[in-house]
Amino acid sequence: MHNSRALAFISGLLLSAMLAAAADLSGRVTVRRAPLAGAVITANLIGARGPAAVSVTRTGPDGEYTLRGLRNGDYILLVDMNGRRVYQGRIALTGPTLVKNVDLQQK
Amino acid sequence: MFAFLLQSTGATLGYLCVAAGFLVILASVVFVIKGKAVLSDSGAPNALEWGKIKANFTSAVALFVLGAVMIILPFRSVVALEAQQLPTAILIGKINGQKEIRLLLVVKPDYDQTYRGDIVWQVPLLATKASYSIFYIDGDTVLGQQPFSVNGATPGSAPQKVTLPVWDMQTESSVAQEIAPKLEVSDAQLKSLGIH
Repeated sequence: MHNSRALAFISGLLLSAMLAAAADLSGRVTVRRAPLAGAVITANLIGARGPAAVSVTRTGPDGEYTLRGLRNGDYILLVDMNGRRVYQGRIALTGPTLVKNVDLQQK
Repeated sequence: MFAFLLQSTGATLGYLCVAAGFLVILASVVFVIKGKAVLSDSGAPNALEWGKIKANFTSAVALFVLGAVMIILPFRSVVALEAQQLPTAILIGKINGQKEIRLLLVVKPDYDQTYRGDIVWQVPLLATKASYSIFYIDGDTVLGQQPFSVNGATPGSAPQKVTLPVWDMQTESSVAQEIAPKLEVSDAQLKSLGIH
């Protein structure tokens, strides 16, 4: 009986910790303020020994993207369009949400 | 007062049908209360007299059912009609340049329209969640395409707005194809982190 209570308490703590650490990264990718739809967004979590986790999504019709449930930490954010890298930058995810807008220019 | 005359013939008939249904139900209730019609256990016809009007009714229940059917029938037709209506999206974009460019939305059936300058194109959506592609065509030459997607569209919902990137005819290519890469982290740094 005591063991099951302790197990439930620890599970609750772990679940709370996981929920607390989960963060959302969102933003908008534009080219001269026009939305860039269909761009591939990749967030690479950088660990002590290199990449630890990768999250990928695509921008919607309004150029907006959202990556949910990310762990806090330093990320390399990549934006690819039609197989070509158009943006690469570094961001630090420390809170529950982070908005990172990327405005690109034409050649 | 006569606003109902502006409705389509089907809608007017539907309103009349519902009104008549309510009257029939009301009449059946009045006939039972007044004792002009009875809920017969035997099923034999009941004599109905209302002034000079004389009629036989098998049961007041039949009148009630008839009225209910007259009310329900138009509503069922309306629901069936609404289910047939396709959700739509409004495509908004812009073409810089003097040439008229044909925009082709590739679906079955295909939708095909030419535009110059601002684009405001209401197109039907063939699925509640789907990916589409706009093809930019000059004559027989496909200059490029712009994919977009919609989601959550339901029959009868307001058109979704989809903003397309500006199509620049000066360079004859999509703006997206002419993006200057913005590298805040160098390739060498990425390589050192094991990211490609």
